[in-house]
Amino acid sequence: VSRVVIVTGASRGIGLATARRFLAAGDEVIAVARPSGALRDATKTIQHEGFSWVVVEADVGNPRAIRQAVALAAGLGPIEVLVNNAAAQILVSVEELPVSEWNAIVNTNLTAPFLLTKAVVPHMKDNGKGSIVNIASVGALFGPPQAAAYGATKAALVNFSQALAAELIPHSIRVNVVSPGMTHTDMGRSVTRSYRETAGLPEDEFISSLQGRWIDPAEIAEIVFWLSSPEASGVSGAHVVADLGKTTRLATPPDLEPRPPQRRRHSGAG
Amino acid sequence: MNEAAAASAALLGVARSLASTCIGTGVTVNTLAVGFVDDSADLQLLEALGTRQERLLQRDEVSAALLFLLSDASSALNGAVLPVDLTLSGRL
Repeated sequence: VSRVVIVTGASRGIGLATARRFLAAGDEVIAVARPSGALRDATKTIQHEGFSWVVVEADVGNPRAIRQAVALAAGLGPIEVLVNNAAAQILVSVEELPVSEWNAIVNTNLTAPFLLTKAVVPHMKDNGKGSIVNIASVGALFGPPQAAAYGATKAALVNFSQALAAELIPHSIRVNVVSPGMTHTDMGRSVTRSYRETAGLPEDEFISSLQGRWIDPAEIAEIVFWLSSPEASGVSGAHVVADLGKTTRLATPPDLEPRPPQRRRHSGAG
Repeated sequence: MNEAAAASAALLGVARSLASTCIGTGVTVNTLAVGFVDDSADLQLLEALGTRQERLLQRDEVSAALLFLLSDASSALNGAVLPVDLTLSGRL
């Protein structure tokens, strides 16, 4: 059965992989993304795969774009799924972060999901069901240096998702939030580039020491897709940390990586 | 009840520790945190605790989540906790 799905930030990375996952399942996708070469390429890619989507070419932080996306989606049928994926980030210290950039990041990462949620929930209530999946980050779990605004908005998005989940469970609308670790996307690669330069390591070695390997955007898309499916009918308010285990470890600079256990000579009798 | 809570918390710790040693091996260790299921033991417990869950979970809702954790679809999850509890653990 085809569902109507809204995905923001669908031109690249996790958003694009997620849109493709829903399209592959036969769902109708309304893709919200800023006009860009990436968006044109993405549209070509999915057409080449034999699919089509409805594109709303606008910044998700623009309330008019949100109204347009929801109106278009509602025209296709009952809106069943909302994936708030679009995110903004710049790497700069708190001291040097201009308030205009702070506001822009809060607007894209937090206010846009809030406004889209407000616009979509009445439709989901009318339909008697729905699923919202928000994309946060492992940056929500600790204070990411040089990315304080990003981390703060992602932590807020986790909290927002859980509050929303509690509000909407009586209406059979489920809300979950996924926090990906380092994912092989433009954003993931640019963050990694800056961190690994500090560590003085090649990219692959840095990622390997951090979390074993890159996460493919399609792996996050699988989790989002499952959470939105009827299979996950018992799951709401879940914060799913998808980071290959990275945050089970304390921060480990590469030179402190665990080595094979060494036989230790104990002093004393025995 | 305190003992069961402590044991469950310890299980999470063991799972996270195992998960951390499994990073990069292709083996993943995750935890399912299950709410109240539609059976007599959970009904009794729910009443004894005075906790409110939106509705009781069906067993196939729990097994569906378990199968997800065991499938390739969850390949990015390691050391994760997946609550199947209709928001119970995420609210005050």
